[in-house]
Amino acid sequence: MRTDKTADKTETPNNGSSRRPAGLSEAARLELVETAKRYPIKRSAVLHGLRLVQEEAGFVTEAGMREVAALLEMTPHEVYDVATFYTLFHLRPKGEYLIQVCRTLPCALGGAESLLSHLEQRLGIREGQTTPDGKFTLVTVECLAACGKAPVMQVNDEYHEAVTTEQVDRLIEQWRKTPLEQDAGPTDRTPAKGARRG
Amino acid sequence: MATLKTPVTLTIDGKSLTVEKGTYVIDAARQAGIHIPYFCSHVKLAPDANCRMCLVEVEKMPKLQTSCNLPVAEGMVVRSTSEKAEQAHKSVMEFILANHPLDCPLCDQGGECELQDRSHAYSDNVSHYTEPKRLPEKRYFSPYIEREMSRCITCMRCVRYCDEVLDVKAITAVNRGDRIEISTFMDRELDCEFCGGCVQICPVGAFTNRVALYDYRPWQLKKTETVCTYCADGCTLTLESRVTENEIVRVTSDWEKGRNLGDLCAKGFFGYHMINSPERVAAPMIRQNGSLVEWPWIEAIESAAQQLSEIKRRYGAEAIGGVISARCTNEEAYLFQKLLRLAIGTPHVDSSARDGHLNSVRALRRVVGHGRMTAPYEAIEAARVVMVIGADLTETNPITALRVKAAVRKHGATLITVGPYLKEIGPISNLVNLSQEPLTVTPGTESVVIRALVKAVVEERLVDPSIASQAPAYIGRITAAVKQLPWPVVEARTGLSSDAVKAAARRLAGAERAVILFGPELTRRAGGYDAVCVLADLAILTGLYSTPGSGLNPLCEENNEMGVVEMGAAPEFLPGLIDVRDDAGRQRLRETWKEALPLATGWSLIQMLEQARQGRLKALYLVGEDPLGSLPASAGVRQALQSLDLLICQDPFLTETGRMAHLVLPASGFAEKEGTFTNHEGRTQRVRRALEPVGESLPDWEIFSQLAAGFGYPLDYASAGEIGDEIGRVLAFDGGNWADRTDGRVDAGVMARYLAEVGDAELEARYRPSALSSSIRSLEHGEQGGAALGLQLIISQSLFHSGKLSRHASELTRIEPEGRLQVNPSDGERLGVEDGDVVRLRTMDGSTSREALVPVVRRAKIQPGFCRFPGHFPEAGVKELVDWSVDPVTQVPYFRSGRVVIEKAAGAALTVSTVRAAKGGA
Amino acid sequence: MAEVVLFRNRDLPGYTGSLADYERQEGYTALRSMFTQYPPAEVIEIVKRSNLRGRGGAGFPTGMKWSFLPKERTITYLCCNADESEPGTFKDRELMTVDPHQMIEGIVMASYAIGAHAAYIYIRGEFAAEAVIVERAIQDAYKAGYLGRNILGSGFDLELTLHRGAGAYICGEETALLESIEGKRGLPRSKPPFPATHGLYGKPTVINNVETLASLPHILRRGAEWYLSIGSPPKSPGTRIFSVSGHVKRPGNYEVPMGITFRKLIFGLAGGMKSDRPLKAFIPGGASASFFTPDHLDIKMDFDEVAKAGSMLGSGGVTVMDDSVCMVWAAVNLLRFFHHESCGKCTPCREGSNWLLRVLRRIEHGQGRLADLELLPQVCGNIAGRTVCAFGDAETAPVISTLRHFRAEYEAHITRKECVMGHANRALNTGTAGDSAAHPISFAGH
Ligand SMILES: Cc1cc2nc3c(=O)[nH]c(=O)nc-3n(C[C@H](O)[C@H](O)[C@H](O)COP(=O)(O)O)c2cc1C
Ligand code: SF4
Ligand code: FES
Repeated sequence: MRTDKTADKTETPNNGSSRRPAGLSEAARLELVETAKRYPIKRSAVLHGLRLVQEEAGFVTEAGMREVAALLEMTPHEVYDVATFYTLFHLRPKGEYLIQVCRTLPCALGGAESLLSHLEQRLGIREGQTTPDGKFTLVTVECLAACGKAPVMQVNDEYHEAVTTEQVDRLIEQWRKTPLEQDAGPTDRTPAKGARRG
Repeated sequence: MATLKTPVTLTIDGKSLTVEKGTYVIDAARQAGIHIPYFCSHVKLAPDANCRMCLVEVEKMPKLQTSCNLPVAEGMVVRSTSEKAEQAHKSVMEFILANHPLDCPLCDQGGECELQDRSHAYSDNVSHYTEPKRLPEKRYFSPYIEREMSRCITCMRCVRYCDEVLDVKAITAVNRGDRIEISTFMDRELDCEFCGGCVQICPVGAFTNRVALYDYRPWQLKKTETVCTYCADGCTLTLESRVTENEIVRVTSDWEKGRNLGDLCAKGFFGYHMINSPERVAAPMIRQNGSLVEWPWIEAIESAAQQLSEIKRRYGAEAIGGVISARCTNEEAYLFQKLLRLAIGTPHVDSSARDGHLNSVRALRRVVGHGRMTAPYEAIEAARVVMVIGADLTETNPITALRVKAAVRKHGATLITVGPYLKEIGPISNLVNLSQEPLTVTPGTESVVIRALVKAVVEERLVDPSIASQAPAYIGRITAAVKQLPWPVVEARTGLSSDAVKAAARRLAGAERAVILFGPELTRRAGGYDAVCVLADLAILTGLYSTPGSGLNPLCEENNEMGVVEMGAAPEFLPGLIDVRDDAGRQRLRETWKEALPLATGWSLIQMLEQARQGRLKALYLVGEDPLGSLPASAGVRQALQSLDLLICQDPFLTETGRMAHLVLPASGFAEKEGTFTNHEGRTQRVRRALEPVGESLPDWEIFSQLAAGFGYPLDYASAGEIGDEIGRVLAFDGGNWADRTDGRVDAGVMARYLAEVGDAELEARYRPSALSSSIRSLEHGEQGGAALGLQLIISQSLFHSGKLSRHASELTRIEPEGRLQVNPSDGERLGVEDGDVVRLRTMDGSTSREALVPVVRRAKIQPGFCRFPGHFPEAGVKELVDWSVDPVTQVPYFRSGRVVIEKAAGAALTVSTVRAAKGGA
Repeated sequence: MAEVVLFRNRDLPGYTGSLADYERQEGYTALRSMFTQYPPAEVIEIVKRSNLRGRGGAGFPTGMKWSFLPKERTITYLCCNADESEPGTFKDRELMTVDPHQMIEGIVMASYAIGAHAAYIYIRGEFAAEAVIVERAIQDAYKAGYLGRNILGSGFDLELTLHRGAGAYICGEETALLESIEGKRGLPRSKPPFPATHGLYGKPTVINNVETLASLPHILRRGAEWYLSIGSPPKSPGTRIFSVSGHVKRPGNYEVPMGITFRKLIFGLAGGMKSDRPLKAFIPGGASASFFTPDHLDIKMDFDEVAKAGSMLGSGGVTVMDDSVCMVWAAVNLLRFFHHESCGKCTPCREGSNWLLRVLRRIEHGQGRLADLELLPQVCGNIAGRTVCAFGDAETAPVISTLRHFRAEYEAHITRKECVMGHANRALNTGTAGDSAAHPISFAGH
């Protein structure tokens, strides 16, 4: 249907347009284009593109997906398809600190359930929820390959292994105190650490 | 069974059979009449083996194997009915049904549901699954396609079809595991080509036709297999109708049948509502003191015959002319020219094929003896190199485009697109995206490129050896002629490097099998006839005509352009493409017809209009034609029609021209007719009657015989079939039965003659750069500067419309309600417009004071400095801004390009309703 | 204490895994001499002779896998499988962090052997810190001339790219991994055709696990015969890293010669049972492997012995459970994992994982029926061996094996609502099975 949507759906890099939807920063755009060159087909860089979007916007935004699609010569549908298959991509805003508690057997044997319930009552939210101040989102995940140091949780990109309730309390206090970055609104933060380092 | 290249013999369920190497077991079984159950497997698609229904036991293989992706092997022993296999089938059925709802009674798929059918055969109807069923939430999807995800069995046929066959990729799987759903980007309303493929290929009721939602139970519908009336691709359709209401309920298409093998475009699948449109002309009308009033048939016919006889008596038969639409059947075209030439006695008979197709016929007939494709669809798909030039194929011929897509995606062919279009990934597929070597040219310079290709072929010594030895003189002349076209000129005009052109020429000449397809952006542009001649030279030189599987393919717009011309509905041709001046031919016809033919040479549509203005043509009989609606004002149609004594319009709808007529005769549409259409390949296919004539309408051929009777010149036939038989007899001398002359065999004699006769002077003229002056030169980009922009305009075709007939098809009009001017996003920026904003168009040279107001849409495929408007929306007035010229050789009118100045129009956007208003009752 | 090979540098005081440290421990010397000593075919021969078997799960002989590549080929790819997602397995992660160059050296060797000029390391998305370490190691290797054009003047070129996944266990399956690198959802491909002929981008491709590749420098430095002399030759030579988790005193990674007994690993190296409760069950090779009981403690940890006993050495993840653990609960936990991770391509796996999980949940919560105990194996039988990839078989292992060894415990839940963990009386939430694990904020559709 030749509706107004048509044009936004038809972004391609070579269409002569200098106006772009707010998606990726210039730097990220360049990084994505460079990354794509490591592969015989551009599309191979789609996971990286989605990761860049999430790191900059805090979650995988629509504009971001459109832009990744345009840069990698995919349809937005194809990018969305990929984004919904991989669990590390979040299509909705999440808290500044995404607390991911592993609950697969080895961790479950190591006290994952009590860790989870401790977190739930400390943060006053249930698994899958985000605190009203947008600070914390609590989810459970499957095996993080740290089973030797159960229970394990990954907060944003960082692993916390063999965590005790005392440690958890200390960490939460510490995170509560860390000031929010000015530039971003409550649902729109970039907590990502590690991934962009180096 | 045909002889096999590499036969492989295996045993399935005790039956020994021999099949082609590479065949999958499931297909081998089918050939042997053994049905192995399946869901995800489909003739149209590469195997995906995801449903696991087709498991079979294979000797020497420990595990059960999926037969849909298991290639046959010599001596293989397969069991599809062993205990193990049958248990597997049952278990997979049980898994699938575990979460499938029991809403068959209110599911439109009921009765033609593959799951329903197989569940009877392959499950013992007791499920061990007692857990709660999964219930995906119901969400809006599209006004045209209904989605019910609870019924989805995740076979991915729809997603695979949309990608593999259409190359659109508008639907995808989202989420994973048993949370998978089929959806669109961010679950938005579906935006795609609306080919209906996902509906047709879904084995269950997950995708159904929302336009016909809950309208029917499949088994209640009468099914009529016929041929589409929209474009020249010639798709086989099944019109499904409710007999009691005499109305079409839906359209389907059989995957195994027709030239389209089940694939359809939006026009074929959703475009049927014009058949039962309330806008159909209900009864004959006669002009009574200024206004048209309904009239009984008999008197209308009498009056027509009487008035025509009167004009013939007073001014002679040559004062009468007739033009027939290329949407009519072969039988009707044949009868029409017979009516005019014999019953009335005038040579002035023409058809809408004049609008471009006659350039192809005239040029190609001289070279190969006819105007048909020389490489049928199968050859396009099997070609190693395909060149598409002068056509945005997805929009003009969507099903032919599928063959090109298959050539590239399935068989790894190289695609060379020559045209002004850029890559664009959007809801509508774009061949340029698939082209490994797109030649993106300055708009309007395709005709320069083809000459440059010829130049490259001779200069780079790429000439096919057989031709080189057969016609050295011809080669010599061409070589001399192309010298006039220096590479710098080529490069300056087309914007292509000479290397790019030479590379393309090398590919074309070097290919084992190569096919060139060319379309309206060559044949409907000034110099169209010469352009086709050049392409013919190119085909000869590169051996496309002498190599099996290769060929040069003209594309047609309307469904029967090829047929009406072959039936003699053209002033220059008698039936069988016999030159009217060919005495031998006339003599033969005279013998069959027992009747002398008019001596004078006839006028083309354009000449008829001219002669009307001069007062020499007094009566015009238009069948399905609407010159007022289709031609620009500069063609002077209105004055011409006003100066007529008698204007008869025979049409299913009341057209703009019809409003001026003295007599309006209601014609039946294709769904109410018997007869044949000939598609652009040259396949003559049966058209079958699905409905009784709507209202008081009559099939055109019946009206012709009644009129003839009025002249006391009986042209009565019991059926269209009888006319067909006569056509067969008439064309018999033209090499066998016309209807069988499906392929475009090259007439060696004709070609030899051409090679000998085409002289220096002609070739010199054909390749002289000045001959190209008519081709559009690119503009200084944005030369108007500031807010106003000078752009090259072309009037094009749209995937969702065909001529103006589709405008009466409610769903197509809903999909594309208004014409939008397509501009490159960068030009959009310069103009400061967003999609939907209205712009004002004027001609650049101010040749007319007219202007047009249209909404814009930014399209990445449109080159900067260039804009495009679909020709199906005359009310927008854009067609009034184009250049008008007529081909000196073929009388083809050119009115699809021009240069315009565009600026953003102040004020609100045009709404669809205002467009509708402008459209009026048409 | 038998010799340590892959972890030889790990416990060296102050060892950082930097290029300098690695070189100080004769890192990349084997590579240097390989270029001068052996043509590629010779390298393949050595690896074949060494009987090195894949450490990723299937235990397929590495040299043989390489020799399946078609003779006539233009482009060849190598993929290093660092997706490590098999529950209970965490060896590759440590291998990559403590000694990334060991893996890289192995990758260059394998690429040279098979003639690959482009290699990809597919590292699971969660490994953010690890990705940084590996990426830095790759950059250092490029700078030092161990990667890139004309490596060490050998004329051999190799481009190595780190490719990060994004959260999908199935992408560890070799063909799903290829799809994922191609930028698609990680759906396994039907085999044949095998990656050796139609792999990444349709080109001949070899996929090897991190540990497999990390073993190469040692085999090339010290020879096939040396490798054959350790472990459990001839079929299971060499050392192998086992990840021990669960109820043991000292969980962690242990590199041991193949062929020691589970008893030695669990009660020796791993220090025996935590809180000294009796051992009830253990998984010998990752969540996809069938449960073992104390009766199996003296089985030799060697591919074939374990297979003979009805399970598999798989990924080397050994998860130990004491008698406080309810086996139904354990099965539910793993089925929730499998249901969550099923890619959804095959009907039996997609629908079956949901079915099994729902039934197990009912039983766990005391709402089972005795008929379920017949139904479960029946459903498992309809999944196993009927799917595109081995995930289908994997998801049935915990169900079948716990039913086999602990049927009485299932019956207790059903007939007497008895559960060692007291779950049999807990209320059962009947939402979409596993949806709690379905990453509520990562699925737009949910
Ligand atoms: C469901 C599934 C998950 C797998 N996950 C992994 C994995 O995380 N890491 C790995 O190395 N191999 C994994 N494999 C095995 C790979 O498919 C492949 O056999 C292995 O990487 C080959 O390397 P190797 O020959 O060195 O063992 C998995 C297989 C299956 C069926
Ligand atoms: S078995 Fe399961 S995981 Fe493997 S391909 Fe089939 S559905 Fe996907
Ligand atoms: S089970 Fe939690 S890290 Fe493996």
